[in-house]
Amino acid sequence: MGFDYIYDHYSAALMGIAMRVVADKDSAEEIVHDTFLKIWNAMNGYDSEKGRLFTWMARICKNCCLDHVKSKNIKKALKTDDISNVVVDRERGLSEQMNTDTIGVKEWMNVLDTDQRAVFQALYFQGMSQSQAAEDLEIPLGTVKTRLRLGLIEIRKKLGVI
Amino acid sequence: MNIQEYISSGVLESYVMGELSDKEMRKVQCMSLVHDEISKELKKIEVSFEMLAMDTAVQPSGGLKESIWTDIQKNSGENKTPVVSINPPKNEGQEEGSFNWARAASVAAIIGLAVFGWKGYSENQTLTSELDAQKQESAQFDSRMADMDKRLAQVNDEFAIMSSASYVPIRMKGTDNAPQALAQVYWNASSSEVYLSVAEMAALPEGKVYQLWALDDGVPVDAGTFKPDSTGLLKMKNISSGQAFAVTIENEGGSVTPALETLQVIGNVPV
Repeated sequence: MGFDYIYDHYSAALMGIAMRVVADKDSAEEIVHDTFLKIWNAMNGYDSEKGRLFTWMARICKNCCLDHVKSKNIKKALKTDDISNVVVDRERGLSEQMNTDTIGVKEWMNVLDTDQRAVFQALYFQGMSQSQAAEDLEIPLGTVKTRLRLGLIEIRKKLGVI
Repeated sequence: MNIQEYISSGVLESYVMGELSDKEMRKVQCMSLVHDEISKELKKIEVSFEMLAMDTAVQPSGGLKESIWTDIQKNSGENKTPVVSINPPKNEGQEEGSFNWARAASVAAIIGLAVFGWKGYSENQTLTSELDAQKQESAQFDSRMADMDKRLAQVNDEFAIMSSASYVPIRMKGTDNAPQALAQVYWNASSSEVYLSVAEMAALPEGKVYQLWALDDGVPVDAGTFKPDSTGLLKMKNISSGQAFAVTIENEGGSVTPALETLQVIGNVPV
């Protein structure tokens, strides 16, 4: 069972996460590849008492996304001598827009108000950390957290998980 | 610490998204062990993120699975447990015609054999216990996987029902008897199927249950009983016609007519 089960059930969901951050399919598949190798090697570290399997896998995937973006930006920065690109580049507005439109996420984003949507964009689509999002959106870190919660509550209402 | 404030701070969402430091994560884990409310909320947040990820999933190319599996196998080949080599004891110093040397050699041989025997035995013991541990881990992994499989299938089924256009969601809000109470019915009028999701229903004394009713032209029709701590979507009795759903408190086993004075939640079927 093992690998087949995990792959068949979760690869597409993890691919979705990666696609939202990196926008191109080849890179996203590289990330999913790395994610599964890490999942496989770290399987003993998963503790079902501490949360759902998917939550654990999604965290690993997110870290792989960040590693990928970082290494890509470092390469780019080394080439162009522009260190300000490192980590996340906010000027990715166009590709994010494309991401949200193409991956059926738009519907979910529509239930959010403008402030919540900005937080979701930063955290969920650009793979920013919460402190990066706070800095980027010029709001306190606590506000990022509460907007994330209020936004997710709107989404939960739609999902019926109230 | 105020639990509601803690939940409202968004720390649980941050935890699920992997945004907290190790120390903060441990704190959330501790809090969820101590406070049932936090643990329940955490599960709902996890399920929501999972549903959201499933709903926004993107199918990778067909070759990816094979390529990952090849890499996994390649890695496990490199990390294979090395074969334990056991060298026989050396019989150095055994010289013919020398009584002392021969005696010394035989003593050495005996010690050598004893060491060899013990070493072999303990290595064998270590390998056996490692193997046992691996077998146990693998069994735990399998059962965890089976458990996840079941839970995910359940979530998927629930999600299919909740997002299906054939099911009408009916939100039942708390009455004056229980202003905080909240539950949701999903009703498929053409197949008569009814599902119930309990969001917030108070604990009940021993011998009491909640009972769901459909109100059809004002006449209450029994739709089944449930316990307040029910999780997930509950399959209730089929209802073919109704304009509203409501929940009362009844004696265990349910009643034929509702004790309306105990009305907990009620909601109209949207027209």
